[in-house]
Amino acid sequence: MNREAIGKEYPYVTYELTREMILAYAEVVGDPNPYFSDPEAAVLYAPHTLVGAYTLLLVPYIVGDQELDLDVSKPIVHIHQVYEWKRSAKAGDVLTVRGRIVDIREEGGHEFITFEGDIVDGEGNPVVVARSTLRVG
Amino acid sequence: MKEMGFSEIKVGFELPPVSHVVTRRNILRFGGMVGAFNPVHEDDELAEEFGFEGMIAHGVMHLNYITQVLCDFAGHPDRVKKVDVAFREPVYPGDEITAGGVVRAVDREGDILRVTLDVWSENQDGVTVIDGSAEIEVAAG
Repeated sequence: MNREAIGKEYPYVTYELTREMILAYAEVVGDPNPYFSDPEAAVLYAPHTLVGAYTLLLVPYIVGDQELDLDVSKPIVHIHQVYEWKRSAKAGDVLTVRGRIVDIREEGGHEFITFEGDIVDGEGNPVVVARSTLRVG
Repeated sequence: MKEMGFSEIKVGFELPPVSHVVTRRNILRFGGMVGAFNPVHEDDELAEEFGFEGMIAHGVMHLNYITQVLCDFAGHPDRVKKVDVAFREPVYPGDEITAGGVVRAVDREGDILRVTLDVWSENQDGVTVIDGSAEIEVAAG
């Protein structure tokens, strides 16, 4: 990979967090906590990894970035994750993922790329900071 | 959700664990939901070509088993502040993953208790698949 891509930012991705998304996600991850899984709840919270998981929306930009030159013929595996929650996300939030590459390195015959996503609400207030490291090869 | 007396949190307290069996259907649903298309999460043959025993689960999917433990313990989603974890081993359909945590430090900052924990998950063979740390904040009791 091209280390000159460190610091590169990707197009913002905006989506609305719907009750349907939250309920479906809670079912898939098997979280029965009523904060996340009660369809009658007045306020439906997002399971903690949901909003961070949507930073994976950045992956197609990263994989398709010719300047970055990531070798997609090799296995790409998620090896490290940090989430810092600034506030709980709830149904009805309109969230924007602002992503950038923060590190590219080689070690032990593998390449590693770390990207960070700031997820902010409609007023620009931070909701989650997600830092993900993938191993390539 | 059972509330605990947070003034009683001690170093070494073990959080009640949770267990989940990972299914192929849920892996595929997860990938479709978050747009995380990657052959290792979708196709046994391609995953085997990459050195796995078959398709594997997304790390974020089973990381939620750990945040479930944290939130059940803390009592409210707002109280879970951070996780910092490494994905150590692949998780396959049919694996039963047990997630847990133990309190490593309790620091009082005014009316807030900042609780630092070691967190992990392991498969049915006792192999660690995730380990790392977490932080929750609760009102001091």
